[in-house]
Amino acid sequence: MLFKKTLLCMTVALVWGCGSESEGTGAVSFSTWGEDYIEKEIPAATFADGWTIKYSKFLIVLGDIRVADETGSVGAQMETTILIDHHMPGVKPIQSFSNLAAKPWTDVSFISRPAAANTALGPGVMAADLTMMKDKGYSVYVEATAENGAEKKTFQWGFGVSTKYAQCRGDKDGREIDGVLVTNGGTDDVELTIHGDHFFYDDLQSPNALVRFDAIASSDADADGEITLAELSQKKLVDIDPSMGGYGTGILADVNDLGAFVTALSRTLGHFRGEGECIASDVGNK
Amino acid sequence: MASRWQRLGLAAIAGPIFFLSSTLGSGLLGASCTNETTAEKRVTLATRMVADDAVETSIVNAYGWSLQLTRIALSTGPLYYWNGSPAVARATPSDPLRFLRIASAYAHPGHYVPGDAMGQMLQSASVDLALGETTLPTGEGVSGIYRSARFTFSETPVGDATEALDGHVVVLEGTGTKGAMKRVFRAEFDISDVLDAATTAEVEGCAFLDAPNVQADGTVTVHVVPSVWLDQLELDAVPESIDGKPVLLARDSVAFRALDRGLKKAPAFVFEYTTP
Repeated sequence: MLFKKTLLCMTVALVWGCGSESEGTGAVSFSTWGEDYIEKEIPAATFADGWTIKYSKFLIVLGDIRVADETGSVGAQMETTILIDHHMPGVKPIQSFSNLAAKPWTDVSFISRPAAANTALGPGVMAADLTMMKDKGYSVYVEATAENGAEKKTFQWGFGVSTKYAQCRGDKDGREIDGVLVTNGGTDDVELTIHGDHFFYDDLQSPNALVRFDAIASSDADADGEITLAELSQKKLVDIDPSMGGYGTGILADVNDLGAFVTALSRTLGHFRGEGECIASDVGNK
Repeated sequence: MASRWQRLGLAAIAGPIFFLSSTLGSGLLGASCTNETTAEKRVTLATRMVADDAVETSIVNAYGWSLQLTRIALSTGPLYYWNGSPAVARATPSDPLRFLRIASAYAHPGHYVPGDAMGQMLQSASVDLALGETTLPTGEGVSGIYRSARFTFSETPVGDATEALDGHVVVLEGTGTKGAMKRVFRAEFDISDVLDAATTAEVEGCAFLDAPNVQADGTVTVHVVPSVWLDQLELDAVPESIDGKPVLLARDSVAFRALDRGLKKAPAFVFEYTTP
């Protein structure tokens, strides 16, 4: 009899559990960080050719965060953007959403697009920087110094691409999940991580790409110590000595110079929960 | 601080899974053998290869050279088909319409993820596409959506173009004109010349036209697009032929490097699935 009651209870619990709706609500809090690579430096050990990179400014516009479930039903959405300077230390808040149903929200995306009228100032960002980003139509702007022994180069690059990072997935508590997981009364803290070393990959597609700077340094056509995007655009990939890197372009047939190459890499900066990934696509400047 | 491997390891770990031909179908079928009508089913895939341009008519590349190939000898290895999307599609130089036919796809930042293996053709062969369309050995697969493919080069040529390849992996011959300049050239590539960043003789992330939902036996056609190879080729520094025979491109020349880079571009290999 006891066995039968136990079996009945277990069955009821199983059926109830399988068929019940999620209970309660919780929150998701989005933040962003540029890691030590942007706050401090990309050390020589990271570079295959021994350079060191130190950013003095790393501006990026982030926002348009969308939290949806597997059916596409949107639970929360941020329709504005914020300008972040990741050279400033620490994790910066972007947006929090509350009163979300406690369940997995597997379809999460965010966008990096040029600064616009609805772009807010991030913590500590100068108003002049936001004005510059708007005037130039930039979504990303960096200033940095590169050194290798006695050789020193500087660069200031701005990019006006709009990139959507969708179907984001990353590690949460030791398990890789899609999107976010809202628990009853809890908050899922999600970091949109910006990887500052991506500008220096020597391949657009291969997971075996190395971080290099020699080819970029060699693009300083007027030898004034500054490498401009215009100079990079004059450096044809076919003219790069293979010893400086393969600079493979994978599926992209129309990337034939370093300017286009670095611009393509500017679409790869955004990550999810540290090393997690999203699928990046060009959404145009709408 | 994440190591380089850790930073890219997620994708590398999710990289391709090789199936032995004897286990491809049975392995997948075994996972869902209770209902064949809803489970994946095995399909037979004939294989063809054809050069889409630069053979019957010349093409004009990015530097104004009018180029036409008279020999396109390739030592081909296995072909693999995946359901992972290639990176964002861009127009190939030769056919703007092709951009409209390739399904919009997306890129994992910094790398391509093949996804699940859907099919394969495992035998090596050699072809001279300047002689026309070529039939390759038959492959196999399972039903489902095919979005991308891997083209491989074979180090040891076997088959119809073995003599033309003369021990090389790729041999190209052709003519180029630009204004008053005329050049006749030959380029020979060995396996070391076609290695990718992972030091494999593979071209990853080639697109499947229209991301077909394969549900029946059919044919996979590999459209080779030589205009992609030729797009960045400049022949100004190549000596004129004094006897009309092709001039061998020096391996340390910019012209050789331009073709070499082209050989590794995924848009040069476009896969298409058709049914009778």
